[in-house]
Amino acid sequence: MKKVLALMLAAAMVLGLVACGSKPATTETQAAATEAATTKAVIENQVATKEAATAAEGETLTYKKDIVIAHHQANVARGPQDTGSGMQKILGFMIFNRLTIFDPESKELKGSLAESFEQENGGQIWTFHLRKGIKFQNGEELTADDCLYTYERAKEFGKSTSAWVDPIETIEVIDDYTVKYTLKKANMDFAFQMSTNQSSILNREANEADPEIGYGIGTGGWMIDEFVANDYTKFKRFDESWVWEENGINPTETITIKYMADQNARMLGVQAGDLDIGCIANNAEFYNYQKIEGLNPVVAASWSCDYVGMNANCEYFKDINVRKAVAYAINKDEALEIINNGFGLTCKSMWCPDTIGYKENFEENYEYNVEKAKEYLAKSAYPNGFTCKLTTINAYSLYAETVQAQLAAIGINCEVELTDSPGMNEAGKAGTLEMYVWNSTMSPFGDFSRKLITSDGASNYAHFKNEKIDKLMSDAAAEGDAAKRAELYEQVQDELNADCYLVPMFFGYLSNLTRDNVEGYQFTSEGYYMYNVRAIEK
Amino acid sequence: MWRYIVKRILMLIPVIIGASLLVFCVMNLAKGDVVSIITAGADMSNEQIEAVRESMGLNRPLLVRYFEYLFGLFRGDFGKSAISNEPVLRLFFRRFPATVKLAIGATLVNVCLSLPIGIFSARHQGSIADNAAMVFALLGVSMPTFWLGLMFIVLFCVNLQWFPATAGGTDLKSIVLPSITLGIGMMATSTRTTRSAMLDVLRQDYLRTARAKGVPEKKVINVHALKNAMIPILTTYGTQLAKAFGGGAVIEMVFAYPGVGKLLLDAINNRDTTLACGCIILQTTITVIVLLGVDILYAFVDPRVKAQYARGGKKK
Repeated sequence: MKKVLALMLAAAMVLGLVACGSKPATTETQAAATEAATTKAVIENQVATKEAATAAEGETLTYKKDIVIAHHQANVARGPQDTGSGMQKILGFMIFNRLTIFDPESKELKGSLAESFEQENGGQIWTFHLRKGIKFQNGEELTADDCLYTYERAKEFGKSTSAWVDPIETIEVIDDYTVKYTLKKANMDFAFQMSTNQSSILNREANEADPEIGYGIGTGGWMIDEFVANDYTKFKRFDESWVWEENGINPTETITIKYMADQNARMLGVQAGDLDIGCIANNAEFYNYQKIEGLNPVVAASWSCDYVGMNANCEYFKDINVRKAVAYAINKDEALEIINNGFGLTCKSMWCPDTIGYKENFEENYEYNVEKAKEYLAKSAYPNGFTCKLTTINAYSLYAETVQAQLAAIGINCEVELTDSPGMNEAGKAGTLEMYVWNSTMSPFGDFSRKLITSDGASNYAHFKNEKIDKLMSDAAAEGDAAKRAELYEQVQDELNADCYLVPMFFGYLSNLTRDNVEGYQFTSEGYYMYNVRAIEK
Repeated sequence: MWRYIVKRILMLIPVIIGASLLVFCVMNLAKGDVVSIITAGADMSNEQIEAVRESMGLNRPLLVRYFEYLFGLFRGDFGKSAISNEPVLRLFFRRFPATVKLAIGATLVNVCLSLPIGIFSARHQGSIADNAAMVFALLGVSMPTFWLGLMFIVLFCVNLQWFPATAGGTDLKSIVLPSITLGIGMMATSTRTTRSAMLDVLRQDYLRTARAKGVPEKKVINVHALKNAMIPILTTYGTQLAKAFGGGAVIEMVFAYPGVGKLLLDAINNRDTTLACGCIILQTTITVIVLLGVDILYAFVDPRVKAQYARGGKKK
């Protein structure tokens, strides 16, 4: 009896292994690839927006009172000055406002809490004129003193605010609605810095009365009702907020944003109707969600560039011919297909299309060409190839394996080494990486890429030094003429392209799964604007 | 008995010191620290990042930080999370009741399934039913819990809509599926232990005597046999309950259940040493207390153990 049972179990196991084997390409897979190409063409630089519907004549739309959203990162703080994570950005955009805001559709920087702003001395002095009558969620009116307080608090307690705090020499409160910032050095991108979540304006009275609760009080359309760190944040609508003036008050009364680490659980939650929006962290499954009734997967172009980096201090990569061989050997289209089902935008520049000075073509575009790669390797000091470490994080293991296979074709053998994000950052700063696959988020304001490409850049894990790039970046930061700035940044990209320490692969897409009755959101490369999100009652 | 209890509690001190030292060393051996998590996504230079590290005291030697932490610990100060700046005790005990509910729910599922199946298997040893029961128990331990949890969500939440897909809180409906998933995973060991303990007892002469005296079969099994088989069964349940109090991180992740397992996992991934250390020490303490409780329970099940405790653990 036991023998029969054991044989049956063994047969079931063998059947299971056979059934789980890889399928050959089928018509369905080819259709998915075509679908991917179409999606790619449609969503280049697109913002995923679903405007709130207007009721037809005689019709009344009714809306759900509560919206539930799930995100893959934890909510760790009520306020904006602690970390720069995606989740904290989402919370920040609900609770707070900033002096300026980047409009993702017009690609322009506009006033937000400041109805206007101007600069002097090539961007060394910035004056912001605040709107009048804006209320904080504790009833206090926004004044210039709150801008001063925000700076003071960031200087004392802020952990991720140095980018906008350190460049400031002085802040002067001219009157209740005018504030002047004098910088240590001219920086034309300072106004962009004041649109980031970390520069959100806090209220002095609220924070001095109760530092814990007051830290989560802003001028945005939503105020914190419940905050449970690493679990969820529940918002209730703040009816007196100025954000409702343009579009009218959102009929949604509460929004809950939950931390759910597992993507499958998030997606099932949206399918089951328990969640209205679930963030998709792994885009490879996007096309599966398109086929499910009642669901609406949406996508926006990302500013996040995946790239292969080569350490300038590693003996192999000191040779420009080796670096060019690597660049020509990498097939970006194939890699995108394998890694993300074609879901992304292959690129030749580290600049994203929204960044000032973005350049599409270069003297040498490094289009995939194995023969040319071999030619360059033959000219190098390592004509027979070599073995090196290829480091990346666990989530990027498929990237590493794909690049490993492509480089093996020209004789460069990579030993894949996997680590986690803190490990990657530590190794990068210490300069112990040889070749690596990593990711960097760019921005419309060109100076944001400084950290990645200048000689002392905190994210320059390739540790390459190019004095020309350093000078061009400094000149561009102080250049008031937009056309001349763009030209300077084009020259920066030319230098990066010629140096070839960083091989840009592709810009990813941000995607979310919503139920099809959800509207009023705007998912952009900058962040998630969800203060107007609502769901029509079915 | 009291001396025994006090002795067990005092043994916690070296356990806490050992666990905290181990966590501190391992977390610091791993590459990267919490500052890289905090400053990720922010446009900051190396100097600015070092300034943050210095303001958090992370540039001090490991032993200095460790002893400062240890002295704080013995004053009852578990420190604050480096990421959220909230006190570790507050973070832990906010989530601990949810873990207790999950642990108790899973244990109930485990006991309700494994005890009758184990007894049944023992009584029908070698039969088809016995083999089927053992295969069922084996399936329970073989199926990955995250997969089982997702399958339950697909079936009961998406298709049948009987339960919420996300454990919004710790109300009864939210606990059912996570408890069943965790309980099924525990079931295999408990079933086999119950079966083998019962098999040992069922062969004893006193049961034959009881049957000969006309005692009903139900009473023979449930009173005479089961009571004598309880020690190993109780040990298994106790160990599994103690483990469950440590939090099932995988279950909590799949069901978005707000327990301590996920809190610890996040603390480790974020290199939040203070929070990770605090969670491990608290979980270790709770595990020791639960196991102590199980030891005390032996006294109620087996009068010989009670007598031994009364003598202070000394054999005559």
